[in-house]
Amino acid sequence: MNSQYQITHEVFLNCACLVIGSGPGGLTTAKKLVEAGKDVILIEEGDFIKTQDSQKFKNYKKINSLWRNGGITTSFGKTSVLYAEGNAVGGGAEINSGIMQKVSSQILESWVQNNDIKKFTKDEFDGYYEKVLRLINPTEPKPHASSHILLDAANKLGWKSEVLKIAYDQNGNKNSVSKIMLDDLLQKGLRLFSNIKAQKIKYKNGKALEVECLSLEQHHVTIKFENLFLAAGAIYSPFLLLKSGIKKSVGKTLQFHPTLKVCALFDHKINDNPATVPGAAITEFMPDIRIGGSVFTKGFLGMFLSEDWKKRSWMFNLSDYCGIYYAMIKPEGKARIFKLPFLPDPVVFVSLEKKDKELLQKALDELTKAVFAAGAKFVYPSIFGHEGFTKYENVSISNFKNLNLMTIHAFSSLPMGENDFCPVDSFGKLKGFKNLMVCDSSIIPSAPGTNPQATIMALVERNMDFFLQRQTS
Amino acid sequence: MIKKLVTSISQAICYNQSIICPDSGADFVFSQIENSPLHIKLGLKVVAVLFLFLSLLYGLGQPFWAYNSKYRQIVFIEFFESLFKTTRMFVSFIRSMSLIYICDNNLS
Repeated sequence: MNSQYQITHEVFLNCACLVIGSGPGGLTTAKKLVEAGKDVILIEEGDFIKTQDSQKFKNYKKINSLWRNGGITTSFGKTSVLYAEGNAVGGGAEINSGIMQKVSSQILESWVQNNDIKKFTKDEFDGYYEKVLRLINPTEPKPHASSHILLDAANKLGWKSEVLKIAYDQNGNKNSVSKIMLDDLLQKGLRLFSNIKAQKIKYKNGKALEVECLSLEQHHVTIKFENLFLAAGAIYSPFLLLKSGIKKSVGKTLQFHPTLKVCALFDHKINDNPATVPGAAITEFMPDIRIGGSVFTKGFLGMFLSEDWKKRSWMFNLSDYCGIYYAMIKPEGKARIFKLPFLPDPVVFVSLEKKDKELLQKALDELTKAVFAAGAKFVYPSIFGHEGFTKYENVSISNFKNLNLMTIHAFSSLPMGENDFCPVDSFGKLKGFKNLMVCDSSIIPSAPGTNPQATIMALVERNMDFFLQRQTS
Repeated sequence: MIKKLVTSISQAICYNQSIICPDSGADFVFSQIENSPLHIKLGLKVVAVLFLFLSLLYGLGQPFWAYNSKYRQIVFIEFFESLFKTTRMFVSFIRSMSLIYICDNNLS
């Protein structure tokens, strides 16, 4: 049965449940609804490219096909953070490294206390994590040379490290959520519309009534539903609410994992398995700081060196001897999403707190220490104008404006809980609405300090169980 | 005009690395600008216009793409890059995208 549709003219559609967005949150939502026998439409702004096909794409082709805004979007603020979002069926899971990690017990407890989340226990949530991990079935990849850099460094410094579980099979094929779930859901009757973008939610008296959409070819699509599930990601979900005139506490608490990088030069070849993420991390400083390795190709090295080409270009032809490593922090600072007049896209302003700057300082220090411990001969940090290091020395970031930060983790723009600052209740329902659920990384109460995919899926599994229980009772 | 400018900058940057950037590479770089959110795209275009204006002064009335030597183009790019953080990011963006394209296509 073919349940994938392209819009070729103006249409009106009806369904019991409309899911906006097909990332880990949206697909988990659709799965729960379809399995409960509901009539579900899933819409996705991006294209539908099967994971097995996109894995064969070269990076430059992936950038336009799978990533929003042609790759990277810049935020504004004293220290800007470049962020990247997935924009295809499968969402962020199509572009991420698929690292599956659980949030620590302490953070889960802080979420319950700070946000006043009802009926949320660690043991119960662990059950949801296990369910997600059984579905994704992540594996521990055989560490390649650039992973050994991290493991060796941790070993020499007496730090904790781990081989990560990632959403790849033993043959190196990605187990994205679309690959795992979509065929089955389409067989069971899910109606999938790719290349259409939700423009506005119409509502009355606390009830969402219909969503106006626009197809890639600019055809108008109106979809009526009984229940709406918003899963367009941590930036576009609140942005759609703001565009629709729903503003209370919306988009004021966005968080990223600001990530800084270094490029390290070794005296031996370290890129024996390019284009896959080094499946190891230094976990000594988690949850505040995680140190890991970036996906590495010569093109990505070029991107790093381009930040300060005049100083760094000499490394370009030594790509076999280079690795890019990162330290990501769990920040306190929050970003804000704005809907400005006449602009069709969200504008994001980031604000780093004093503690975040201290953490970034520490993150760079420990990261530099790690790569030198593993034998690096030269290191450039992602700071414009920096001369680089030939040996470990105490790092001082003198001007945060020159720091180049990036992230692919965004969350907490619509945090869940009963406290006033939470626009979503303890079960994922948008407060003030009878039939609007938020089902993506927006609802994560605060920065988890880990890759968020497993947490998004576990939270959505939990919240959808409550939704379906309410429906049957 | 902006496309012609981006193409010229992209080709000059690649020339500096002894790489020939094909037109398809420059098309890719321009498509990245076109795919940016409107406020960023407008910002990039404003910077491109500033680039063109300053290059006209530097080139005594000649537009950047009409410079008679790649060396001169590269010196101007470096000058422009050193002006502000925004101009640096503009050149860095074009350079990054050019390098991604040429490396992916084994042209480097």
